[in-house]
Amino acid sequence: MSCFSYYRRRFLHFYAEHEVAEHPAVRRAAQRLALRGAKLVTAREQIPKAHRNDRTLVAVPTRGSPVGRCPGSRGHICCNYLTADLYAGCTLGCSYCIMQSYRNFAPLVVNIDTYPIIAAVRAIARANPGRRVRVGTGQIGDSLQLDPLFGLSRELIEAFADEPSVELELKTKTDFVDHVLDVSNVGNAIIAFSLNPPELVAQEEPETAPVADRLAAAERVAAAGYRVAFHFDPIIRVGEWQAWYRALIERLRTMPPLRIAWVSLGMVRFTPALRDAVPPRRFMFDEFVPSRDGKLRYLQRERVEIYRFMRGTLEQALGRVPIYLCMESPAVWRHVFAGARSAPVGSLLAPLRLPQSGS
Amino acid sequence: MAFETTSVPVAELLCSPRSFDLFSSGVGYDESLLYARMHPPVALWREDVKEPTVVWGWELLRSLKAAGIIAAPAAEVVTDAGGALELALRVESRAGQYGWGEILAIGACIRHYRLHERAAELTPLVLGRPGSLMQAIERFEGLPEPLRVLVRAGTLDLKTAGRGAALPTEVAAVFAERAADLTFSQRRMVLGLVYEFCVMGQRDADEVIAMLNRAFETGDPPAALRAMRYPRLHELEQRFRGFCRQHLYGTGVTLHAPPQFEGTAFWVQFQFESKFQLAKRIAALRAVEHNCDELFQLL
Repeated sequence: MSCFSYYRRRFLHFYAEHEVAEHPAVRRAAQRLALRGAKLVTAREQIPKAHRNDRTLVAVPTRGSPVGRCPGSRGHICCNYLTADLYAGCTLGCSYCIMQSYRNFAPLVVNIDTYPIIAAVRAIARANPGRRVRVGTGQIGDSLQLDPLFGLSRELIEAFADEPSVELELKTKTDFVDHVLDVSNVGNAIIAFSLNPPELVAQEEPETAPVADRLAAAERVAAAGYRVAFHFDPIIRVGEWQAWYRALIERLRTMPPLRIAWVSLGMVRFTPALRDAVPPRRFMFDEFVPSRDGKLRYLQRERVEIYRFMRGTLEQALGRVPIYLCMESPAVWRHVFAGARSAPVGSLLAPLRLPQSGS
Repeated sequence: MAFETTSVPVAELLCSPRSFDLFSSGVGYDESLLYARMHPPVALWREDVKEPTVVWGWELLRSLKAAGIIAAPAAEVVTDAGGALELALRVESRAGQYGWGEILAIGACIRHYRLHERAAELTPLVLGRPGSLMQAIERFEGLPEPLRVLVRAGTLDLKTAGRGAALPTEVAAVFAERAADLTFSQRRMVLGLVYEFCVMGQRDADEVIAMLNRAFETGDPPAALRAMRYPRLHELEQRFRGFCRQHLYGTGVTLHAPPQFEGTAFWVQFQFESKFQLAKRIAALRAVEHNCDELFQLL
């Protein structure tokens, strides 16, 4: 994807709340969208109804708690990831995206001010001496889809470069990385790519970058000094899935293993509400049963088999890279990692202390 | 609001345009009360110089005629068509209790007088909850005819039947034919599974009809269809039941697997009233212990 022509084609309206009208990132984005400026509103509710769709961008001040815990899932092990919502919403159109069932505001929201995030993460790092603080911006939006427009990730990367315990993860399904390749000190920043076999991408992730482009982007960021991460999430058992995933993992052999910070594995899961909200998908016809958090997942025994296959294939291709599971039950963790060669990630999983805001 | 009531011949009122003949509660009127004039007045709507229209009281008028009463009290209101419909619904006052025949008649009235903009406001008076009456009507009208019959008869709810809108007509027809053999909740389960086979699984109509017929032959169609839809889970359930039958039948010990075989632990339940009973339970547990690898393979 060539990003600026993509943005001009994809987004028709750009609004900003008055409070952030003069923010450099807003001016920068307007210029890159070839606009004189953003249309100003007092609150996002003032955006005309006809423009409240995913072809509209809205820049707003960062309000509320700038950094939170990943909500995790009841009865499942959480990796204690911290989330900072720079970008809320995305237009990549993944069929399984849970946001389809709970986002009630269609325009893409950009929390434009990075300072509160930087301050909050630094406070957390100070409150947890000796601990790794993993924080990501890709929880409710793609970390990099809009980033070449606004340039907010660079501010975070540079701010945390001198925080040795902070691992900032920018997670994406795009190949929009070139705007951060010239950051001189990347510290512990990690650029992470969500991966699925091209056969699945074509069916279920229609507007994401082709896998080959994502992998090429991964090589570029690794060459620029970043560590990379790969997220196989959601893993979907459909068609020739084993051959597809094996071939995809083989393509990671070109990555220097020491530059791989971690690999996460997550099985496809969705709420009954999501299943009812989206057009019927063939993969949803598989056998899904309710788990303890109410989400539908494959049978536990079968998830274990799939994870073991993925773990074994990854270990063959990449050797000893840290692998963890996303939102999985203790039983599955135990079955998957019994006797595993994968590097232990246990220390990552202990909860961090989050100081009260202002402390 | 005060209305002046006048006495109008029943025969004259029955000649009024029928666009508001909407309600058929089926309850009827007690003749003795009719003779005693213990009934509400007929509501008439006058928009302009035209003759007034009966907007409420058609059932009452038919009962009066049947009872040989020749005049009825009538109250006239001057308003627009939307106001007239609202008045009719408020006098009838059966929100949430209308049958589909009545709901469709109300929808036809809304279409006839082009009251779509007021439909949302009228919805609670009809459905007893907020929402969109016209959308509900469109959903109903989009159903295959066999499912419309079930919804109209109250044997299937509209939400569940809505899934049936995507079914091939021949599948919907087979389902509707056999629906009488099922309870209300079984109908919902079966239709949900049939929807999954047809729409999500993209199975062809003949195959789904064959499955439905096989399921009905078992005597427990929901369970049979569920086993077809979830064969792997069904196999685990069968193996678990087989284990319990083989090792615990008649021992007084009940073994439970975690729901959907999701978890790490099984649990047992028993009670005893004597040393002999306790020894029997413990012996049964020993049998479980010796064979428990079979159990853990299920998780």
